Amino acid sequence: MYRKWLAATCLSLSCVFVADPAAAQMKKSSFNILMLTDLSSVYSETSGPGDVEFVKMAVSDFGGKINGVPINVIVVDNKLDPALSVNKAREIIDTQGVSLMTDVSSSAAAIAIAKLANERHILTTFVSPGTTALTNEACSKYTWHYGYDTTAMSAPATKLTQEGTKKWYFIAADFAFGKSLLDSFTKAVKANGGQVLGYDLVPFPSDDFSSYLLKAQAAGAQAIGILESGQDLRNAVKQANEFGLVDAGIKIVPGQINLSDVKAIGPDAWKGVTAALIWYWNMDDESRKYTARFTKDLKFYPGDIHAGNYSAVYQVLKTVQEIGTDDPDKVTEAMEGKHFTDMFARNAVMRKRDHLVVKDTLIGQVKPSSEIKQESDFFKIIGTVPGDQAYYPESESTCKHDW
Amino acid sequence: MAGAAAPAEQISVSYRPGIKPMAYYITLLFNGLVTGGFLAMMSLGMSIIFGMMRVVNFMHGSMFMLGAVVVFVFGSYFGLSLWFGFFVAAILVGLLGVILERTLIKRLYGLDLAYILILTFGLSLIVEDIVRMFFGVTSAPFLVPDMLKGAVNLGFAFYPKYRLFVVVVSVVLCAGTWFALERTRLGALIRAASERPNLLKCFGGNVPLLISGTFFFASALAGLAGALAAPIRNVSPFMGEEMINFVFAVVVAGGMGSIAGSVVMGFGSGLVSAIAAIFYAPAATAVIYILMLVVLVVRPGGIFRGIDISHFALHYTPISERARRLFMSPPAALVALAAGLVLPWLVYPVLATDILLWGLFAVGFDLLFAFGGLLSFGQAAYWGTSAYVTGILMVWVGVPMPLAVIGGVFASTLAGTLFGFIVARKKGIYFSMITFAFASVVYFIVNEFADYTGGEDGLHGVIRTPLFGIDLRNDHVFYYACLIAVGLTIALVLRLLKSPYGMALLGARENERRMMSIGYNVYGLRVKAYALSCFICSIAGALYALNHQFVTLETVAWRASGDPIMMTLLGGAGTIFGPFLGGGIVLLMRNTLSSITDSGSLFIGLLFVAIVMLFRRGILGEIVHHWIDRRSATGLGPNHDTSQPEKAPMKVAGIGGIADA
Amino acid sequence: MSMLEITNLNAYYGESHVLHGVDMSVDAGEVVTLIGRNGAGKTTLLKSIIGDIPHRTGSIRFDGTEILGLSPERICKMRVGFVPEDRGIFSTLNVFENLTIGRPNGRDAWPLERIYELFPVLKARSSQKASSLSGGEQQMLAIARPLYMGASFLLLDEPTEGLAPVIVDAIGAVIKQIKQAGLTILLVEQNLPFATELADRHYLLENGHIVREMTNRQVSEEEETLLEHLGV
Repeated sequence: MYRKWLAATCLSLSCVFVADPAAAQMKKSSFNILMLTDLSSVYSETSGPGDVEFVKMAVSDFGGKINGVPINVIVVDNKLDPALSVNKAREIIDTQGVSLMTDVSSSAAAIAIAKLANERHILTTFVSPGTTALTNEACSKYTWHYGYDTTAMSAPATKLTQEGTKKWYFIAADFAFGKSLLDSFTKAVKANGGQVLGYDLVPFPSDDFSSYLLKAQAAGAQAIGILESGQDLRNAVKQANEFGLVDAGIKIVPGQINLSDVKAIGPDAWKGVTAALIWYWNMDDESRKYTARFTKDLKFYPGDIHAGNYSAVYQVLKTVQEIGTDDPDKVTEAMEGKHFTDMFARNAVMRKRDHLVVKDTLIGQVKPSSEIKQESDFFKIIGTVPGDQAYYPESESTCKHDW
Repeated sequence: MAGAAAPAEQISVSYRPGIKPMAYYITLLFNGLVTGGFLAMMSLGMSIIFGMMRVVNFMHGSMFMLGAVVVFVFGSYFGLSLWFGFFVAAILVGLLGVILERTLIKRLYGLDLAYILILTFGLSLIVEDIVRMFFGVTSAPFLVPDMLKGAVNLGFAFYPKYRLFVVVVSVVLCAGTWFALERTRLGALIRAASERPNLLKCFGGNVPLLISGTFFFASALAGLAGALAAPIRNVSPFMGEEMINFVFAVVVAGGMGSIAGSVVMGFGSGLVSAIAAIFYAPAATAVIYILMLVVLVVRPGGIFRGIDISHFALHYTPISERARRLFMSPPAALVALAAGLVLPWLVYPVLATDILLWGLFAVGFDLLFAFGGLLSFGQAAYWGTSAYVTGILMVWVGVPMPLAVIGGVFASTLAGTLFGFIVARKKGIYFSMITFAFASVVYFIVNEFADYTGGEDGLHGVIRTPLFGIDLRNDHVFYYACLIAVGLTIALVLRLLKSPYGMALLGARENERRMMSIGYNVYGLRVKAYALSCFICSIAGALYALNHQFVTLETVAWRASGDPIMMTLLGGAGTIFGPFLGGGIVLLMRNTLSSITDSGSLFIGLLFVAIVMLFRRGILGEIVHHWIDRRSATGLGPNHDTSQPEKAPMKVAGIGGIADA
Repeated sequence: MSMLEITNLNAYYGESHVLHGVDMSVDAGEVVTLIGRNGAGKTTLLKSIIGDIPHRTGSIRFDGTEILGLSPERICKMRVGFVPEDRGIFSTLNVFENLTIGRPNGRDAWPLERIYELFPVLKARSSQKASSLSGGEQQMLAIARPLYMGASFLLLDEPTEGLAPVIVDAIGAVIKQIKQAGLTILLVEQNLPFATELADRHYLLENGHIVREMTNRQVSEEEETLLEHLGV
């Protein structure tokens, strides 16, 4: 009798260990993904609900579980407020536990979260923000700058200058993002034998860019870099058309562009515009496959940041699965130096030194409306720049890498 | 910082050989007229409303936006041409204005300006959020009608036809309005109703109809301006926000209630902004505020003397004298202290500290507002400056934490005192607008010095170092450290309010002339009050920087000035502890709402409207009113009106007799 | 029957009882004055008639109709004209606009020519801003206005206050002409000679009570005591 009881106990105990070996090595009993994203203000279309959709898709593609523990997605509308982001993040970390933070709209919020992540050892993938600070002075062991940064965005400037557009004028948003773009674009133009005739730092937000556009034209610019985003970018491009700059043959090059920007003022307003894209829904079969799933639930087409969130979550989960643990130190070490290609990033490398995820960057040109056969198919891909050329060299990073 | 570096070469270009410089400048000036046209139309409407009803209508910006949205919707979904769209937009927005006036605003006439301002602000948040829910942040293209496409050869340059059309329309409308007001009988009626509505009744004027009609017209004008703007600007729910701030500045600088002033200042500001864009782009928007500040210092009533509003006190103390004494009594302080001690165990500690500090900030605001009778829209300038200076001292200069805090508070209070000397001479809405403009300029400066302040990225690395051997990195410990600081500051405030200075301040709020006639230096009282308020806000700001260990532009943005107003009203103005309660509710709401919904603005807007329409005393004020004042009323005669504004301070300050009715 | 008949009128400002059981009447075509010191209730009585005091009890009958409960606008439509102590001028309007701000009501409304005949200064200054007028000119405007509107009964509150003697005479002449034209006038005045020149009867008010009804002769004879009494 006693033996049977002992055997049963041993058997059941061993079942616990054998049946779920990985579970015993997961430090937390669930894998919580915290999304800090803009659900209601100016970036809610380029981030927001689209990001949530893709993150949930990635989670469900993993079957909702990782190494035997359930995956939860917690979504917080951070309203681009750094204090709110940090408070909420800390609270959720303390009360529910967080294994991965992703997205994080607003560069200021991102930098604050980076510090928090470093303090509390939380893996973080920044997809929405573009500030280069995240891989320089604000770099940390656990954080990854996953989406885009301002240096990659200057790829079209490189291309156009090489092809003969030598005289540039820049109109940039007067805050870190715009200034960062200005820096990258200026470097790109000069490095290829071009000339920067002048630039204007414009208050953000602004409604009227006509003064600056006319200034650029008067200076003799062949190309005008409009280093703006969102509403300001659209206003500027609308006005460039209005004043006949586009018809006069001046090339308009935005600092970055989204599908919603093209939709807002119509593709014809973007005639001939060339811009850098880190992802495009119609670029290949992989991207189209995931886009189809996306558009079934949400009624609009996904943009690069949306897709970036899928990839970020997917890659982190994959790493956790591969090494069998969610220990942040081990996961981040496993990520360093990883090469991968997925639905979002092609020929990507998770750089070891500064935790920048470099990937192929596409150069897209806006199609005229006559050539658009499918909804939201606004771009024609006219070139691809490999990651190591699109992004700044690892050696130039000021990240101390003190881990 | 890698992200903020500027290119090595800086080239400034004004013109190139081969292009006529005159043409270029004139084109830019025309652009200034376009912007100015919108500003003039909006300011005109706002000025008329103010002149008529003494209402500062924050919703004007939303009406601009709605006009653009209407024209877009009718154009995209019903294929309505822009020409008809203008009419439809004007009429629909005008009707909306009248409906709001008849249902909500009408109830607040005769009350303080502050109520209506807050009501209309709340309404603008609601409208903005609703539009966002339906149309999202972006919109489909909306282009110019064929007849107005292309450019016109003006001889020296080509200029877009549509923009010329906008300039012509705005000039015609402004001139037409001026003509109607100055040369027609209807205009005479409106001017009479603006000046003395009660008198006009004796002469058979249907004042309510005139008021509603004027509101309709002004709203329709704003809607039309929005409709005109739709083809040349991106239509979005946030279109009205930036616009409304400029419109305020223009109206105040032009002279409130002065039509000519609004129009001249509107076009003038547009031109000035265009010129600024040529020479120093970053200042293009700040320059409008600077212009306003200059005008107001040089010519206090605005460039055209508008309506004399110097006798407009800004009262917002519906709580009775008894209630006020209760709040300043030791038992109240003990209750508050007890609440303060347990708070970090009920709520996440960093959030609890936030509540404490925002509450103190709001008390700083309330001191000016409820006790001094001055509504400041710019206290965030001191909250933020103190935070930034503290941070900069610690991060860039390496000053130890305690000294940095002292330095931050000192610098900020000094700035506030200096500004106080200028601003304490202004009263009522002028005071409010100047404080608003000043805060906008501070924002601009902070952003300009991004190398030190971090600009959009923020200033990070403001680390809490040990104090007196205690490690402040523990959030609970830091909370209690802040509680001590806040408690001491509140004790100081209570002490001051009970002193002769405090009584004198209240007396000056009630009846300035009377105080002056018996020898009080009211100006000096106000300067002190302002300086004290800045001091309190600065303490809160410096600690805030330490709480989060970073400082961002949010601390000097408009919303940071608006939040303490909301918190004070919610908790109860003049109740000392009400602002803390209000702060707690607002912060907890924001914190919870952000996980639940994306319609936070809608709820907050509704909250504003509810406060102003239904419970003006704020939560604490209402509780005390029902508890104390109702009880005491039953013991007195049937005619005893317990909701009278207090007269006691006058008595204590040595002034007898009944206050002027 | 009197044009204006007031019976047992009591008026209150909040808790203060300012008019106590006032009984008085004015017949058609009469000029009646109210005299009394500052604070006696003269202006309050006028305001009570025009409907501007919310809390009143008693009876005020005008042309046989009870007007105690009516609003100022309604009473105004019944062709009662009120010239307040501060003259009630809209300073942002010009003279013409001020004059014509109310619509003419009834056959007896004075046409503009007739008004300009009696008040030539108003024609001369018709496009000037009302605030640029002298005190006397403003008073003329204030009196002319109800005439334009066709008032049959005029309430005048201290029309000569603060004016130079020459202007006072001019105002007196105007009021005489108006009386001759058939209007009924209730006049509040501190200037006793002026009052006796124009009026048929006088009521002396003290602390909200009508203490005496006096004839012109009585007022002239007791002028000195009255003046002392009035604290002038």
